[in-house]
Amino acid sequence: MTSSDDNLTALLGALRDAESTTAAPARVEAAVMRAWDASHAPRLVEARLSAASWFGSLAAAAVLSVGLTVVGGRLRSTATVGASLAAEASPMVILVGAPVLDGEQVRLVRMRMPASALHALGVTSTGAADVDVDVIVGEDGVARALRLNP
Amino acid sequence: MHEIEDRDRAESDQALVRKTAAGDREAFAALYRRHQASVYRFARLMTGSASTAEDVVQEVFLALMKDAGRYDAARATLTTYLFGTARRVTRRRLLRERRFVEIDASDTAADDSPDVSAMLERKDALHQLRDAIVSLPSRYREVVVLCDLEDVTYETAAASIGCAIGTVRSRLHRARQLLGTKLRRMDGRHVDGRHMDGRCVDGRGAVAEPVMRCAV
Repeated sequence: MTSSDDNLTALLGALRDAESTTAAPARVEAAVMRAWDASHAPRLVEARLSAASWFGSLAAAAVLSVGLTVVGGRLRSTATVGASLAAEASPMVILVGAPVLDGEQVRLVRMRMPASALHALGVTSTGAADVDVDVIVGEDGVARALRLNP
Repeated sequence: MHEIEDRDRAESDQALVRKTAAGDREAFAALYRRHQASVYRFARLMTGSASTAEDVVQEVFLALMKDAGRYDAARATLTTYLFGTARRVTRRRLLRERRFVEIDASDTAADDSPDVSAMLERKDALHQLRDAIVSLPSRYREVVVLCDLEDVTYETAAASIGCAIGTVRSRLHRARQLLGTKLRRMDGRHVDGRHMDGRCVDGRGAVAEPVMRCAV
């Protein structure tokens, strides 16, 4: 190695040392980070929108499922009520007096009577000669209702 | 020891790049703070312009921001990736700016303080060297900047430039020869009445604009 090579090596070393503290000004970092924020802001909005739409879908699904459950329950209960009404349709209830008061002590009297005796109550045909009747008698001894059992 | 440090740092770089790809702002900021200085120095010495170097730094890190998801650590270290990107951006800028670059005023400004002559001489010598490096053809300039000034290994330099390691060695050898020649010429010009910082004095004694021819 010649002395001129040595000089050049030393000079390069000195330049390296002199440059070692050189760095981009702070404004460059600010600009780069602004670019980062600008580039990621739409993604954040998209993510928010995505999350919002996801939650919206979830809420809609929840409302739908609750609605279906309620409606389904009502439909089932209607069907049940219908069936029970149908079942109870056969024992016909005829109100003959004042309604039973709340808390009133009543008695139930079962009796068999001729179907023709029910014509006065509007029952034209029961399909049988005799009808079993449950009579609900109030505290005052007056019949309040009849239930016809087929 | 250095290998272990380099490896740890490389792993840390990888982790930061992964986080950056996942949208971690702080990870990206950490990568910027870790590598901006070397990218800036490289660009500044390649272009001879601080303002262009600032633009290069921005472009390099914006490229990293966009490409972080595609960065493959198995193919190249982050240093290689950054220098490679800085090299491409710098070359594009130099071609666009008609191959002429201005030597920064801050570099050529005289020191007003009553410093000792040794300090001025050293400063002048460094200016001369910086000017000589900037005036080198880019294929020589980049190896000098990477290997001699940024202490990058031949392997990393070769990967950044996209050539063989032997090519880096031969270019570096040739670059040093050219630098020696240019520095000797500059010394001669100084004797001929030209300033050592590369500024030329016209016939009336006025100092011309500090423009340096920069070969690409």
